[in-house]
Amino acid sequence: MRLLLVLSLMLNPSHALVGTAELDAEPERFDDREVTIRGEIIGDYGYRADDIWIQINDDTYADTPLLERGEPSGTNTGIGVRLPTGTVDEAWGPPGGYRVRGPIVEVTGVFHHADPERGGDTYVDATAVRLIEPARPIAVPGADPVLLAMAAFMVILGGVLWARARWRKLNPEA
Amino acid sequence: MLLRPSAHDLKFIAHDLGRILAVVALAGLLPLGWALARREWAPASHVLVMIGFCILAAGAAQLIDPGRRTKVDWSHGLVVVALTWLVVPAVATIPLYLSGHYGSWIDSYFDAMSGVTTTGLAVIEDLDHLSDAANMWRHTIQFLGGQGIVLAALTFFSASGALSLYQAEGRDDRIFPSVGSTARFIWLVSIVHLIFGVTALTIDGVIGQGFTFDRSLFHALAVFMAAFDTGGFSPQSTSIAYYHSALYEVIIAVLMVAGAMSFGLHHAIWTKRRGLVRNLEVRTLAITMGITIVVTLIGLTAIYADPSGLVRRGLFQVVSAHTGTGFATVSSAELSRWSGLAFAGMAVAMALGGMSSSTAGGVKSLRIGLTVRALIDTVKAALLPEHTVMPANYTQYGRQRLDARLAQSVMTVSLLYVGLYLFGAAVGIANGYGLQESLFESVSAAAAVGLSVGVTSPAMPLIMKLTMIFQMWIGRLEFIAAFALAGFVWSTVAGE
Amino acid sequence: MLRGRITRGSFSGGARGLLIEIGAVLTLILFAAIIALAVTGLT
Repeated sequence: MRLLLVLSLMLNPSHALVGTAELDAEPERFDDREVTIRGEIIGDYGYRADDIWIQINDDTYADTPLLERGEPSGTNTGIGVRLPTGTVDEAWGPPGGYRVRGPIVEVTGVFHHADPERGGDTYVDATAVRLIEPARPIAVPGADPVLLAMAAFMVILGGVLWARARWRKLNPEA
Repeated sequence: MLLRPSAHDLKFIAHDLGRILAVVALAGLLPLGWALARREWAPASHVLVMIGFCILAAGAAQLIDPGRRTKVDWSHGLVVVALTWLVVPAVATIPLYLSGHYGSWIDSYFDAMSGVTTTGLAVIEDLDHLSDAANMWRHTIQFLGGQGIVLAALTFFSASGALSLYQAEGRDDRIFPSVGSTARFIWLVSIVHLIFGVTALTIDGVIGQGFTFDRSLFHALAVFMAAFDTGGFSPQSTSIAYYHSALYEVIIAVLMVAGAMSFGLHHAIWTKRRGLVRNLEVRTLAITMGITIVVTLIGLTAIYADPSGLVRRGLFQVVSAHTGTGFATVSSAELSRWSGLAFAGMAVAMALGGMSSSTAGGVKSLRIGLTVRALIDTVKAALLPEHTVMPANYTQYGRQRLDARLAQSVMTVSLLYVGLYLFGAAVGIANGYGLQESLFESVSAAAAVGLSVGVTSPAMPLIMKLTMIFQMWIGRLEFIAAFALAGFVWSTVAGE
Repeated sequence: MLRGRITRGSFSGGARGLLIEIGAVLTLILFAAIIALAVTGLT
C-alpha cells in the first residue's frame, strides 16, 4: 500500500500546490479535480472503519504556532481530508494542538465541493500522502509566578473581607 | 421628576454585582480542573487570576452593607442585570486575553461578550493551537450565559428582590412560585441534557469518528455547552464541519432544538401537561421553522444538485440559525454564496429566533405569534361591524388574554429588534461591506446566533466590533434592562 | 413538597422530553427530505 502511494507520487511529481483558502473561495474551479495541498495535521486522527479523517491547516500557524510566533496573525484556514486506511504512520507524531506543532504532510487527492456519496461533504479524498516534517513539541510556558502571587493575594484578601463581613453580621452591636 | 440615585441605591447595586461575580469564580473551576488534569500550567494561572479577582470583588461586596431593602424596586433589578452583562464578560476576558490569542483587549472582550450572550461569533486567532483550558473556558462562559448569569447566582445566594433580578434577565415565565425552585428546575433540565448529550457525543466521537476517548470527551463537553445553550463556539476553527459526521450533527440538532425550547415548555412536557399542540409559541416556532426550511432548501437547489447534501447542509444550517446557535457545517465563504432565497430563509430564521425564556436569542416566537395575532385581530376589527365584541385570546399554558397593552409591549420590542438589525447593517455598509453580508452579520450578532459570512474577523474595523458588542449585549437583554441602565446613568447626571 | 415532585418525576419526565426532542428533529429531517426531493424533482 505504502509502495503504491510512493509510486503514484513519483509518477506525478509536479503537482502545483493549492491553498485551502483558494479551495474555499473558488470551489467550482477545483470541484472533482485532483489537487495537492500541504499543511499541518491539526486536532485529531479520526480512525474510522474504512478510512482515516484528518484536518489539514495551511495557515501561517502551520509552520510556527501562535505561542512561538508571539503575535497573532489572522485566523486558521484548513480543510478536512479523507485518507486511505494504513497511510498514517506512527513516526509522524501526534496531531497539532497546544503542545504540539502537528506533522506537516503533502496530500494529493480529489477535491469534492459537495460529495453526494458522503452527504454533500466538502473534503479532499486523498490518493497519496507524503510526510514533509514530523510533529514537534512546542515549548509551552509554565505558570507565571507573578500571576500566581496576584491570584493568591486576591483570594486571601477576598476571604478576609468576606470573613469580616460575616463577623459584622453575626455581631451587629460591635 | 427624575430622582438622583442615593448612596443607598449604589450600595445595593455594588453588593449584588459582587455576589454575582462569585458565580464566575465558581464557573472558573471547570477550566481550572481541566488545566490541572492536562498539566497546562500557564492557562491554569490565567484562570486562577480571574478566580482571585472574582473572590476579591465578592468579598469586598459583602462588606458593603446595603441595609434592608425598603421596597421592591424594579429598576434596581434591571440596572444590576444590565451591568452584570457588561461586567461579567469583562472579567471573563482575563484568561482569554492572557492566552495571547487575541490581537487586542477589545477582541477578547468581543469573544467574551459573544460567549456570555450565547452568540458564537469569534475573532480568536489560531484557535486550533489554543490550550484546552482556555478553550473550555470559552465554552463554559456560554453555558453560564445561556443558563443566565443572574439565575446561576440566585441558585446559590438568596437575594432580596430575586424576582425582579430573574425577570430582568429576560426570563418571564416563572415555572414555580419561587425563583429558587424555578432555578433548580432549570438546572435539572440542563443536567439531564448534559448527561444525555455528552454521553451520545462521546460515544460517536470514539466509535463513529475514531478519536481518542479523552479528546472525544473534550469535544463532547465543549460542543454540548455550545449546543444546548445555543452558543455556537466550537473547539476547532472549522466549527461542526470538523467532524464530518452526520450522526454528530443529528445529536447536535436535538440539543439545539432542546435549547431553543423554553424551560416552561420543558416543564410542561416533563409533567405531561396537555394542550401543547395548541400552544401559541410551539405553533409559531413550528410554522416559522417549516417555512424557513422550505425557503432555504428551494434557494439551495441552485447551489447543490444532490438531495442528500441539500437536506443535510440546508437543515443543519437553518436549525442552527433558527435556534440561535450558530454552528456551521459549511465555511463562511460557502455561506456567503447562499444567495437569493437561501439567504432570505437563513436571515429570517436568525431574526426570529427561538422561544422566550429559553437560551435562544432573536425576536422570539411568542412575540412573533402575538404580533401576527394582533394584526389579524386588527384586520378583523376593521371588517366587522363597529360594535362587535371580539374575544382576543391565545393559548399559552392555558387561555390568556391578548389585550391592547400586551400587544403594544410585544410590538414595541419586536420593532426594536428590527431597528437593531437595520442599525448594525447600516454600520456595516458604512464600513464598506456589501448590503447582504452586512445584514446577515448584523442579524447574527443582534439575535445571538453566531453564523458568519466572513465579515466578523480580527481585521474588522474597531467601530464594527464595538457595534456588534453593543448589539449582542442589548439583544440578549431584550432592551428593557439596557434602557433602565441608560435611565439610571442619566438620572445620576440630571436627577435632583 | 415541590422538590419531591421534581425528583420523583424527573427520570420519566426527562426521558419523555428527550424523546419528544429527538422526534422533533427526525420530523424536521423527514420534512426537509420530502421538500428537497419535491424541489429537485420539479427542477
